[in-house]
Amino acid sequence: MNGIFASIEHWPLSVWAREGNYIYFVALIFHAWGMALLIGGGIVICLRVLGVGGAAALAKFRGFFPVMWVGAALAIPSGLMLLVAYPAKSFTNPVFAIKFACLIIAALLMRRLAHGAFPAAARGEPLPHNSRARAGLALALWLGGVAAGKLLLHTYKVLLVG
Amino acid sequence: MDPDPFLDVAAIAQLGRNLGINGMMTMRWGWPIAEVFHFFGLCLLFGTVGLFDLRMLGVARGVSLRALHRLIPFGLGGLAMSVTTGLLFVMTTPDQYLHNPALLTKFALMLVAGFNMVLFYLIAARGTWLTGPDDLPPVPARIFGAISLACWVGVMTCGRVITVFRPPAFYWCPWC
Repeated sequence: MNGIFASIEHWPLSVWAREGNYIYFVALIFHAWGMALLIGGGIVICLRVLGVGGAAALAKFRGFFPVMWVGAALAIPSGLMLLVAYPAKSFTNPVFAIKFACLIIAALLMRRLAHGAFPAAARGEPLPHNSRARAGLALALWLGGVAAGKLLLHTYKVLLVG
Repeated sequence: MDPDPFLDVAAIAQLGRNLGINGMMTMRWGWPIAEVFHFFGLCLLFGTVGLFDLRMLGVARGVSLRALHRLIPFGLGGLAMSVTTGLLFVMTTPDQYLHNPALLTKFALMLVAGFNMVLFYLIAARGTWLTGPDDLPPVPARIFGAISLACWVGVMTCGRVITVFRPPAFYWCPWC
């Protein structure tokens, strides 16, 4: 596998991402902005489903989903850029898989909330019985994704390029 | 020799060692765990204060600002978590942080954000709580919201580039 990663690291895009003037840090900044919007939106929605801020109509919190989409639109391309710069460093690190799994599962749980809890709240019906458990798990997974993301820098074992 | 007459980098590093902070942070998982909590704090802060600011600017109309404000204590808890862990970083390697242009800009933006928050509560909060769930708050509140959001985005940005602007290659001491 390292041969494949090494060949990716010779792609002009990969070299540019690593060696271009501050390109890597610009990608890091966009990734941070995107993750802040994505996870910030996720935290607020999960907290509300869990009952915090109960005076506010839950259905209206749907308005924060577009914030999360904007966050994803910033975080995913910038994340791909970071990945293409150092593919071996990420793909050989199990913590990267944990980060990815946390974020994907959290996003799927949010989708279930969007299609289950929010329509029920809009109709004035009680939330589906496991909505709060899903929100609690999603909140934990968003934070787990952040934790794994921060630990990437301290847990990689393979670095093919400097 | 350190030209700073106020912040003695060597003395702060010694204080960090005397308090056991240096020993804790240089353990295998000390620094990474502190980083994780630093970012948990930032997530809570941006997820509550940042989204409150966005709501003041018209995003997610229908959500009552007064009710959304009940999430702010989570943001303040996040801020406390970030400030505490941030102090651990500074006390461990003050030479990398104290005169770092990115960190000083980050501190300045945090001060502006804090001052802006105080002014919001003194000037614009009462009008904001009277705003209907589907309405925009009064113009002063929107201005305070925009300043707050810009400051916190700036804080996040400066935090990301601290490693680029490390002393001695970059050295800022506006008070020297």
